[in-house]
Amino acid sequence: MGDEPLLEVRDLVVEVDTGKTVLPVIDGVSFILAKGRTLGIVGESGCGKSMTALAVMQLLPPGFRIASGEIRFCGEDLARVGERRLRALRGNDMSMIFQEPMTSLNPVYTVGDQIGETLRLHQRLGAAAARQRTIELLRSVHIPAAERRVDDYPHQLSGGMRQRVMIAMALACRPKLIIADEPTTALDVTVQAQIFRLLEELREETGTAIILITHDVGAVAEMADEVAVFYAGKRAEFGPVDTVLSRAAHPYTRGLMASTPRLRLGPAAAGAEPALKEIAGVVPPLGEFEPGCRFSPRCPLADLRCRDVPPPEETVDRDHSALCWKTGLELVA
Amino acid sequence: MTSRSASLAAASGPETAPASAPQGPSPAAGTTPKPDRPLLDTCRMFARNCPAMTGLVLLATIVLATLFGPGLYGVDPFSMVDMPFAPPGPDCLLGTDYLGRDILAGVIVGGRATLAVGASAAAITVLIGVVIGTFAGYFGGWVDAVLMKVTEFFQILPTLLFAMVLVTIFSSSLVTIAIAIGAVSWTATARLTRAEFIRIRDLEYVKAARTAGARDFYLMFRVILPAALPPIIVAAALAVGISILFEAGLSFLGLGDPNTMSWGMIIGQNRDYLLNAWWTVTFPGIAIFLTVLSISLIGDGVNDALNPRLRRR
Repeated sequence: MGDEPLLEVRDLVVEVDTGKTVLPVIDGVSFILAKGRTLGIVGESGCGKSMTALAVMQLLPPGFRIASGEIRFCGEDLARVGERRLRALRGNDMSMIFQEPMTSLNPVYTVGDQIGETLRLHQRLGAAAARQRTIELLRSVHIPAAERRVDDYPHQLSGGMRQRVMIAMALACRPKLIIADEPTTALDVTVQAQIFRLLEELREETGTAIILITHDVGAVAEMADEVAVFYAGKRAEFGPVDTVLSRAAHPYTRGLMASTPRLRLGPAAAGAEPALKEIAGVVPPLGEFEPGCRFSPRCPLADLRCRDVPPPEETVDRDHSALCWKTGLELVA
Repeated sequence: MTSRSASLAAASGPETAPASAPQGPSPAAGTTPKPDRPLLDTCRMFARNCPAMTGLVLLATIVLATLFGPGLYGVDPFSMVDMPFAPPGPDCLLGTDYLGRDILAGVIVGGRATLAVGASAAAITVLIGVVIGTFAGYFGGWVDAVLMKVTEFFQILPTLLFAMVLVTIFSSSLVTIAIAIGAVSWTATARLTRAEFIRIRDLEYVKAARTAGARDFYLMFRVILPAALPPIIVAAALAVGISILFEAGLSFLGLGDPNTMSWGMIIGQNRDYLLNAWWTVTFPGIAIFLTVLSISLIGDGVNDALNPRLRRR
């Protein structure tokens, strides 16, 4: 570490107003991201991963609001800077890559127009300069024949190419932070690996920090420096990726890793599990959590205390902590 | 890190190769950047559309005829040139009306007022409708509620009656008639625009534009409106047709501008003699029919041409 933090999220609480009641979607989440580092956020659907991303961008959907906590980006408190400053930051200093490359590009403009617009908006480039820079950007994300592809409409590109265009657009102004919200979920497996490698390569070149939101524990292991495991709006476990994945302290993290398929061939196939392990049950609906640990109904180690008393933030290692009563125990079941 | 970078370059190879393959035979192959010409693409697409081109030729003929016809034909549409109700014949090609005025001259000169009112009323309709629909659909919430209540208020008014009241109060001139038609017929466009905005505003690319730092006005008019445009253009074309019919209706009821010849006025003034002198109402009627038809055909053609999915490279 040692670097000054680029993004600091402290005790973030996001609530949704359903009309009848107000429910917390994210409940006291904290993390720190240093310059040029990659933070992986993993967890099941509905655990608040995307909401965290949107909260950082200050673009929560209607009905959702940040109830408390602090989001500091380069020292600025994003909740206080005002819409004008936020618009200047978005796209320029922080940008986002979405899950669906099929629908994230505007079908009525060419890809060149869309990337160029960001450059003209934030960097005040002229039309010719923006076009030139756009072609360079498309080259940097390995789009072949970039000088012709720049005039293509999104429907003329494949899914992988569109996600490359999205990445080029996110990189256009050399942002300090890119949030990639499940950037490969909608893509073929072979293309997924290419996209991850591309992100990694671009991070090394440009020194931008990345928040990678994904279900893919393998991708996190390869790309991330730190990892935050989310469960039901809480940060279940946080720490450097090596220690978290090798010595997972939270039963949920261990469950996630056990449920990741691994291909074993040859002699290794004999030792492989016959069936993939799963975590029993589903994420409980909002507002129907246990008074204690939210994972306790699905946890093989849970006892009465787990159900009734919220678990403490247990420090496992220097930077590695977990929200669990049983961090020391081995997973038996 | 260097070894990893090397593997990256190799890894990006598999997609690079097949993606560039179909590019090979393209005639535009070369290193010079192809200029961006979306307008030309749209025009080319339109020109390939046979019904749309028929409509365009038809409308162009009608417009040219009303513009230059009076100079070529040279008969005053208001002066008596023959017996009243003279049937079509060599003297008067389309016959005369109940005052012995030349119908052909009336149709040629009347087209100017009819087309002018139709186009300007449609412009007013679309302008009001798109602005109201844009704000209601984009902002939602109380803005939407208020604007839609206003829209509903205008929707429950009987349109023809309301337009008649407006024309009666503010004297019947072409400007009043155009404004009256626009003021009563924008509701459909507003609802259409709002519906399109509600559909499009939550799409990912709008979110993506917002994360790129776009402001509300940019999102409304540069991101969402172009995507919402195809149905609005069709509605606008239909609005021209409907406005022409509306103007004809008002004139038919005697509320047209009495000092300006228009197709509706010819039909309105001769309506009592429809069974005895069919030509007095039939020819201006055909003129209205052909104009409205050509405008609808063009509207459909523009809709198809603007759809980038149908556009070829």
